[in-house]
Amino acid sequence: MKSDSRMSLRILARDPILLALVFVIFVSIALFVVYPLVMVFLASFQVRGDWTLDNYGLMVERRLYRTALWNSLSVGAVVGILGVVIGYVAAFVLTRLDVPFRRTLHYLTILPIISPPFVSAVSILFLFGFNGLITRQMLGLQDFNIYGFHGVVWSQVFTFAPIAYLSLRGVLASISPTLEDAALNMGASRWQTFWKVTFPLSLPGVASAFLIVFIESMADFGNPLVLAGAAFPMLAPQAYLEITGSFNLSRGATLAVILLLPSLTAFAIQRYYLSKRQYITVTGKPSTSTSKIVSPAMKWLLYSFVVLFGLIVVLFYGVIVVGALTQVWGFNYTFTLDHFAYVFQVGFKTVTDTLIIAIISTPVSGLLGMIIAFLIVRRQFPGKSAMEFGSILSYAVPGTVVGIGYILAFNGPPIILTGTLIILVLAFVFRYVPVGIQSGIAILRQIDPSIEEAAQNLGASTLQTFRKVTLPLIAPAFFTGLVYAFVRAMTAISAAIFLVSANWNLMTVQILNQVGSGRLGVAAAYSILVIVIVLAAIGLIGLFVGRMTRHSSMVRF
Amino acid sequence: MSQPVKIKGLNKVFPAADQKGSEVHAVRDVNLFVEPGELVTLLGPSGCGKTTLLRMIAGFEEPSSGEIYFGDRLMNNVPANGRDATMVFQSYAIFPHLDVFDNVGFGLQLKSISRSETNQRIERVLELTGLTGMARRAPSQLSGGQQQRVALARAIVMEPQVLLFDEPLSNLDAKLRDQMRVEIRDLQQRVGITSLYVTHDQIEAMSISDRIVVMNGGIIEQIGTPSEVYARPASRFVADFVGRSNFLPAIVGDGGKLQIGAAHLDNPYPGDAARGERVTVLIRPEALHLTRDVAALRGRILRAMFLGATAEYLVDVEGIGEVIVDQANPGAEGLFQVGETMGVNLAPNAAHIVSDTV
Repeated sequence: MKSDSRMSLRILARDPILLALVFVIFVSIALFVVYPLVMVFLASFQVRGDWTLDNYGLMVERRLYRTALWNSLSVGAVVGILGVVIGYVAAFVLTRLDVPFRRTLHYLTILPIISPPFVSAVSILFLFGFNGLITRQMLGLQDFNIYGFHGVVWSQVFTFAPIAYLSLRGVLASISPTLEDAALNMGASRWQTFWKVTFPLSLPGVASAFLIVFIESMADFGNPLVLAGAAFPMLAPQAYLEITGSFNLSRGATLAVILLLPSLTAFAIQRYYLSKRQYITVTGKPSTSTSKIVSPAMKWLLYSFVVLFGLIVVLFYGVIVVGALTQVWGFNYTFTLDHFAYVFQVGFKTVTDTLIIAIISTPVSGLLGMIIAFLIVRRQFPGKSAMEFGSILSYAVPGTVVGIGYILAFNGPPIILTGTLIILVLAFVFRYVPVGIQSGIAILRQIDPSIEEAAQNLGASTLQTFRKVTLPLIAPAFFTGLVYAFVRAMTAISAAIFLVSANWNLMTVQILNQVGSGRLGVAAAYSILVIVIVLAAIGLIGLFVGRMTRHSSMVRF
Repeated sequence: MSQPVKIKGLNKVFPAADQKGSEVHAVRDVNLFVEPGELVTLLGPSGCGKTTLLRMIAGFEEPSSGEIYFGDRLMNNVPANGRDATMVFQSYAIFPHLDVFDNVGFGLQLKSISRSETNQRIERVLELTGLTGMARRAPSQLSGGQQQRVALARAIVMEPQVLLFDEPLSNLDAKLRDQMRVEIRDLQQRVGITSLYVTHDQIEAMSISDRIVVMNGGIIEQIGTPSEVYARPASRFVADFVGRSNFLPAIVGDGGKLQIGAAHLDNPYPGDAARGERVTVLIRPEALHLTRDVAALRGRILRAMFLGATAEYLVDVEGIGEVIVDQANPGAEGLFQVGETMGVNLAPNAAHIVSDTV
């Protein structure tokens, strides 16, 4: 083993650019991923500079914290289950059944992924709040209370079921329908075929999707902040309140550590246990055969379920649009542009701030992701698995923890960054790079390495190989990485809320402030602007990546 | 331009894949000298180390020990992109996002060569490989043989010191393989670049090479011209791998003449075996001939197969055992029947003593 790493170092030393690249990436991961986390841990064991376990003692003693932990875990579990059920049905119907409007329903189902974090919370307030359209005006309920467990759960299910859908879509699409045909052929009933073939094959994917939704739910900040209410404490908003409300950094850090543990556990299970148990029946060509294991009645039942979810998406966004264009929701529905005028006059600096930050962090994050994926799959160097782990670690770390870590780490010497543009950009780059890395790795593993060897063989250096061959080949992953980085930079709140300042503020924080002061119309107007910007950006990024790789669309691997 | 390739004491040990596995000694103490302009084939079964050896020459694998020279220049520390030893890959490795012209021009465009010269060289090589008129095609629009030509064109347009071929024909169907074999040999002769060619197909190796290097278990078993390797294999492994073989027991008689069963060979064996020694000899199936006349050996036919140009018989020869006989032009005399007892003649110089080890 020792001689191996010496050999790979020797090879690395021959390629100074590669060596420098690896070094810079290691240092940045250590500095901007690991170091803040370490600071959170250290702070949780300190009170005013003294080492102590008092913080953790308080967590056990105080009912507030115990309840917050329990609430976060139970919401996570329930949202995980509901999200997976919706995601599974939608994925099954949209990949395996021959039903109309599949594309439209697909886009409707994933639309919540690109919206700012408060859209569903605000929609739920519009529909079910004290002046809610459904609860108050249609049903005439006076004392209906949406705040608490069910409010958070419904809002999160709406927000995160699309993630489960996307993950399960890949799983179900990779199960060859011929396996079902074989079971039917051997005399199994449809029901038996589903339970004994299709479902077991998709089970690792189901578990994986559950854990992903669980992690997202635990980390979610926006929905609980708006919908949990004072009587239903949850970990992420509680940590925020400890820091901004009572300026108690060490207690916030302790809550962050408690928040981090279940997420990291779920991440470890998902990554190191489940991902090795995915059954993939690759046949080379995608099968177009539709599933025969559901009866027509069942098919339309499942379909109507998916259509219902699509309609709810339309309803939620429709409500936001109406809310943004009317005077006062629930009282005065006259048309107005006042809310947009407010956004463009009073709050326009936030819009430009957000755009600048997103425009800087998107290409950096996208390229970094592709470079790291390339290094991990195609190059040998010591500490490779550490780089892979470090670079995707932040996926499992809730934003609240990252935010607290960044203020702890970069508020004083040796590196002072608080209040700057850089700290927001760094937080976004390193927090959202894992998705690009993961999809880059997935695509690169399927590409014959001799294509890149051929480039080297013809005289291309590592950088030339990457730019001229690797990047065009993994363009779909590059696209994913860029889009994800941009969408998240536009819609992030949980880490960013600790890092914004008077100089650099974000639209999502503005939305939160407007919700907090009851100006839901302005919040809705901001949300619509965010969605419009995100959709436009996805189009632009698609054009850019398409131009970069003109020919690759001619080839299917 | 073209350089000799010298390999001295080359070893490659792959580390164990996991805790339980053991390390793999893929290439063991290989010494080889390839003359300028020569085409040398590395032949052997899969896992014999031939591809690893080629990849070390290309710079894709790091030798565990030993040296690789192009001319007088030690290449060990030269990275793959500086070796000037272009390769034709087994999978062709054509850049799927570039058209034929840009694929072939990829390496030239990286160098500081004027655009007009680059274009001229590309055009010339496209013509040489029969790809004229396909410059703007995407790789997905090419047939297997055309893709093969692009891979070849891309390698030779660089006018490298050394050309490397990694089983370039293994993805083609039989007819096309025969045709491309001739084209590659023809092209290599014309451009005169020192070439190393990896294959597991002995027919391909014999038809294309100046010399063949037969490898087994990471070791070179024999280096020789195709006819040397075929007629005088250095080991039983080589004999068996290159062509089909009958291994028969024999005794060295007076004056070095071999006695196989009841047959005494007329020509003395040129080797240095002692009188009375028991040896194993190789006799190729085509060196045996069945006849209805009286012959030194007699045997009964156990199996008969008509193959067109030849007929293949499995014959139980008295005092020797089962041998395979390839009879040329079976149409002339008709197929002999299973159960018939025939005379068996041995061609002059048919026998070659083989050792079981190198």
